[in-house]
Amino acid sequence: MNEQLKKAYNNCKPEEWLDWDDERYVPLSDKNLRGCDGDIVGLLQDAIAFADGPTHLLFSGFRGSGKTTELLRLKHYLEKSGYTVVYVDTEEYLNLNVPATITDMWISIAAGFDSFLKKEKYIDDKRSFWKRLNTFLQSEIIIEGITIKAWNVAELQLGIKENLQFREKLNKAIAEKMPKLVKECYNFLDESIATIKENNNEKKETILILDSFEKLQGDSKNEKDVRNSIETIFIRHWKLLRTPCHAVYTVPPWVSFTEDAHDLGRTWMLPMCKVFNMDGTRHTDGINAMLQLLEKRMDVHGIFGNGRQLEKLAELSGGYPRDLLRMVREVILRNARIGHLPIPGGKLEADIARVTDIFTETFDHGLDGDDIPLLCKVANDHSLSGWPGEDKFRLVRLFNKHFVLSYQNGGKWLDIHPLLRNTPSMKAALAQCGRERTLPGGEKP
Amino acid sequence: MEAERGTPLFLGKSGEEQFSLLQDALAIGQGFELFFVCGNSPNILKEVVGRLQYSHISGDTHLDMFYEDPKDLARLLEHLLRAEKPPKGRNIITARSEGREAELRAGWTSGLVVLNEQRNRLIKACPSALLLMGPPHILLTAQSRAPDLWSVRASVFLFPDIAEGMSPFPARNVFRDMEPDALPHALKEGEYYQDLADALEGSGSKAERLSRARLLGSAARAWFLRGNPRDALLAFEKARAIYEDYGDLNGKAGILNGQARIYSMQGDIARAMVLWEESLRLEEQIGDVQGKAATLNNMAWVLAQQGDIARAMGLWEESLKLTEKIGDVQGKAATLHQMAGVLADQGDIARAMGLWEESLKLKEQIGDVQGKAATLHQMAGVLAQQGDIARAVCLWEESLKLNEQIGDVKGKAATLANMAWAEGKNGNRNKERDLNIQAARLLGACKAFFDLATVLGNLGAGGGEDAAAFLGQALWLGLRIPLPAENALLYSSTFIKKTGVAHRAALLCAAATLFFMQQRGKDTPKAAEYEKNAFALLRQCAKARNISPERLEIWMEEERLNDSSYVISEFKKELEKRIGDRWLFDPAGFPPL
Repeated sequence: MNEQLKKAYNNCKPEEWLDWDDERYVPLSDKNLRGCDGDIVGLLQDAIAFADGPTHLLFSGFRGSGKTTELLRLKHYLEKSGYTVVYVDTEEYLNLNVPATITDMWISIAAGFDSFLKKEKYIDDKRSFWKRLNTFLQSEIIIEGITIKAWNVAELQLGIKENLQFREKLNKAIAEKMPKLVKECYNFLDESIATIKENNNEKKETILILDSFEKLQGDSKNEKDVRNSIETIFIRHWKLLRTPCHAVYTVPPWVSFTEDAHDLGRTWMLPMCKVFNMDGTRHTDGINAMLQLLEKRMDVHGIFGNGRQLEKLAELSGGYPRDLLRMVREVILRNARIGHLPIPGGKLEADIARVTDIFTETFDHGLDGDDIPLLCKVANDHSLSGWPGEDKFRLVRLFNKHFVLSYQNGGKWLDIHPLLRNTPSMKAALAQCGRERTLPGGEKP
Repeated sequence: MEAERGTPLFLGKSGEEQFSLLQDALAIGQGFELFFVCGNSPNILKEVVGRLQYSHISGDTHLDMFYEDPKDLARLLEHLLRAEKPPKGRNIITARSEGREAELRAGWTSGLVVLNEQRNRLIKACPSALLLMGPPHILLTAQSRAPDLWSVRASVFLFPDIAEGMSPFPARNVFRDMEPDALPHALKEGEYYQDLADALEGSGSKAERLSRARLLGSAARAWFLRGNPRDALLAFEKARAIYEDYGDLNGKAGILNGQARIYSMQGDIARAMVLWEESLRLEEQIGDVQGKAATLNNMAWVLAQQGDIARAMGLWEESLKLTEKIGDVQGKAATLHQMAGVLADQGDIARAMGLWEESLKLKEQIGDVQGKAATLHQMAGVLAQQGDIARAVCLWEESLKLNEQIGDVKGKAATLANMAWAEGKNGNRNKERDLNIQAARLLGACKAFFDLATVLGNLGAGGGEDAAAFLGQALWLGLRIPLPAENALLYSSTFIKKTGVAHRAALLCAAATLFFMQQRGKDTPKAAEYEKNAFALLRQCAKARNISPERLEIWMEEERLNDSSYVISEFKKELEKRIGDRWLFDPAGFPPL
């Protein structure tokens, strides 16, 4: 096994997210490659700093786009600026495959604060949120068939996350008491913030970052209910979600494209790195930035020669870092036993062509013929304005599959993934509507 | 004694490439990695798991859902993730599954959802690779139901079906990839693929329709192995229609090849050739040089069997040029081996030996030990036939050493069987019997039942008090596997002769043979001849009982000789009585008739 390749291969693992100070980090936002507004972390910081009172922001981005890394950067810079940041991962407390309610959100937030306070040893179990919630439920709620009194705190915690039947019954029983429960959670937060301030007098305010909520999605049976639940939380009950501290909530990308989203204020979107312009021409800076991602992880020239051939992969990734890393890994794997580096040009070209075919085939297999007209529309319009509601919601599934990617040049715009564009079905469909594009490498289809 | 590993199952050229990449990925990767390893054929996935375990790069955590309810996949994965002790060292957890379509889908869906939710825990708990092995539809399920898990996948490895497409080893075993190595699986495989395909019927999604086409192709191959060419051809036609709908020329070419093979094995050579020609045109159109080379090989083989040697050689030469063009050393070596075999049959021994030597050199070059063993084996056979037994035995022994080196039990058995033949030629009957028995035991252990039946037939043809017991075992196998008609007739007539026409066992044998000729032989060009020969055996038995031709039909009715279930069940009992405790393989490994 070639050791250099082995190292490069393991430096490109798609499941690894980077910590804010990882040496492999490339500040794509700085380079205006993710929108020309500047560094998104800086913008969020400013939005918090300039707010007159607690501000509540929505943050979104695709899986693997670097969202968590940016949030961790935000956390770091906020803490450096003197804030206390409570980072909550919703996945720890909620099952994200079923519709959520405002109650679920509040319980997650309060539970997150609870964990933070316990970790910092600011509170003990007697003052724990779960104990408080248990008491509230016992006194206020009767759930048919379930005796809350018999549950201990640990069971309650587990039950809310993993026992869907219990959670459903709880939400139903709580519905009338919801404002009271929200108030209970709000009060817990208020007290927690006071406790934090007591223990950290020199600190500024407390900020909540609620991550992973954008992963909420259902299956073919309940996806509509899930979507409705997200709209309910962030539109109908948005005012009920206003915590007594600054908060950044992550939401699914499609929220930022709904018409009602303007009521929420701006949704801060982490788009893909721009490798093509809206008119289909290459965006050289973006491609170079994607190559820089690779250079931070391996000796690109030592392994691939002058690296120009990798530009094709950068283009085909659509600016989605995980796809680029995966494709490069595949090329490395095909040369794992090579004796001498760099990989000979002819072989590299053949391997890249083969990997392109394999990845294109994966998109082709996942492509439903019924989605093709919608995808053509995305390729033509690059936006959702004027689209009927049902079409917008079908787009949700396409976002989840990464068939549609989002970019930003001042305004947001959309495009279909270049690998999807490369599939025979999409090529044929786009040719019919006259929107074929010159393929990576300059050749026309 | 530990059972020897059976002959490695050839995964097909692209399957072997995939396995090689998978091995490298497991060797090169560090820490947690998620791989999807997919294929329609349970045998293929089983082979992959076996090789990983054999090569000591797999861990000891393996969920084989074959013996579990697929609905329990989620529960079992959860249990694994919650285990107090995380898997140590380099561990590979595979959740391979086989089962009926509806439960399989539900099981995989819930399993993937669990893994999706628990992926952070998985990444922490699992210090090395996780392989999820199942049918290709789990990829679509993962994309839609487990998007976070899908998003962190390292790689996807797709294995083609066992008999799909173009094998670069058409030599000696041109239809080898259609022989079952594990009969119980082959028996199930037809229904298994058909179930999967049926569940996708009516789907509008392109991905699922193409998946259905691939499954129909696999069902077709499995049906044919069951001796059911009619259903096989029907399934192939349905698959072909789907590929044509999507303009999938590669898929269509594979189907045409499969259909051509069936027609050629049935003796309808003209029709087979038409289909192969069409396949060639498609391969030309899509630039599939390797496919074209393999199709030419298949055509050449059949033409050679028909005696059209000149044309066969022409096609082989053309195939050789193509394999040279794409640097397919393996393919070239296989073609030379095949050509040599035909030349040897024609008596052109010198030329045959020359080509075999050339094939040996190429196989040496690429480290194809199994191929080398096979070529040495063939060369030895020809030398033995020429009377040069001493030289033949030398080459066979060399071949045996290579078989042992790679654990090729089936190859070893074939060599032993041939050495047995050579001993028989020299009049060494005891040595012949011993070598054949050794060969039979090995073939039984690795479930190579077609070859086993042949060796048992050879043992049965010899003398000795246990000859009938061995022949009985060949016939017992014939109740379950579609033996070639000529072989079945030969064993039956030998059995009847040895047993005596007046014996009940002989009568049942004749009746069973007639059923099989009517059923399995019915779509073949020689159907009428086979049936006539089988009927002749029955008439002999009737004559021995003084049953006149006019009374034959009524007598058959009275004796229930028209009732196939009765006849086969009774015949099986008679055979088992005769075999006693002289089994050379384990009959318990078979499902009930």
